[in-house]
Amino acid sequence: MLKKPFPLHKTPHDTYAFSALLILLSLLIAWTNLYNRPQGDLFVSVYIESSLVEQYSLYEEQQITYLPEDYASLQGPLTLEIADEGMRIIEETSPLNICSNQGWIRDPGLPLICAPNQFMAVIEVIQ
Amino acid sequence: MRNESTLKMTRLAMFLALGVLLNYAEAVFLPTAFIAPGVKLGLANTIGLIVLYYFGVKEYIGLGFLRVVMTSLFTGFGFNFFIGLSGWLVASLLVIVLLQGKQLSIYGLSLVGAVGHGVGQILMVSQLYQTPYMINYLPILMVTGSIAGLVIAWLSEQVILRMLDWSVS
Repeated sequence: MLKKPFPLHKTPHDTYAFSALLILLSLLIAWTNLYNRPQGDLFVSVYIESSLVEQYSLYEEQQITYLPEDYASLQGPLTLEIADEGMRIIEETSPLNICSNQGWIRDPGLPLICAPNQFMAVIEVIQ
Repeated sequence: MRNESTLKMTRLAMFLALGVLLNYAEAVFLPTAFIAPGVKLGLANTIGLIVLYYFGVKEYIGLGFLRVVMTSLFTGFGFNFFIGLSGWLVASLLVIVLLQGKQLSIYGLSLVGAVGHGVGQILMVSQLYQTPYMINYLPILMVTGSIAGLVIAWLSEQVILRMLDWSVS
């Protein structure tokens, strides 16, 4: 039964792997920060089933409810709230409720995704 | 010989059941999705590492795939299934490739596997939603994946050390 294909205790190569990961992470953070710096008014873009459904100003407080009667991929009513220059999902139907538990998103470029409902909302600059 | 084969099958079935249980229990009792989607400790990965250590690559792949499929019995075979599958695929590929070098310990393999899982998930979501934005989650998943990978490696090491004692006695 004993195969022992790898050592159990740390090796120098673990440190190399960790260092490589740190370098990659730093580069990625620098690149995403540079890429996501907003230059203009921000909007919330809503995609359902990979298609752009609607765009709302991030500065107007509102609640929008999407219904399964209108979009087949929705497993129940899904309500998106836009307020205080942020967005969150306050109602949705899914096995683990990941997107409604995620809370507020205020950063441009960070999508709010409900995978079981094929729903995505993202704050972005519209040129 | 037949007894050994039955014993192996029984142990693998037990590990599979444990993996599915840990996966589901973690999602229910230890929700971490408020940090970012896809963030999780991945307790079930301890089972993968233990199986890889004791049984080898073939069993590691088979058990990992079955775990993804069986976990989807609870959550459905929609987008979540494909996201989980791609995470498992990238993580397993990285672990298997790096295993051939025989240089990384359980810590290095677990670290790379955990980060690879996040990368796989992001690739699949980007593909499903046709969006480049998912890459913005990569730094978060890399940091949380690194921490989770090291914790999982330590847990797996502790279990393996105790199992070694158990197998000797």
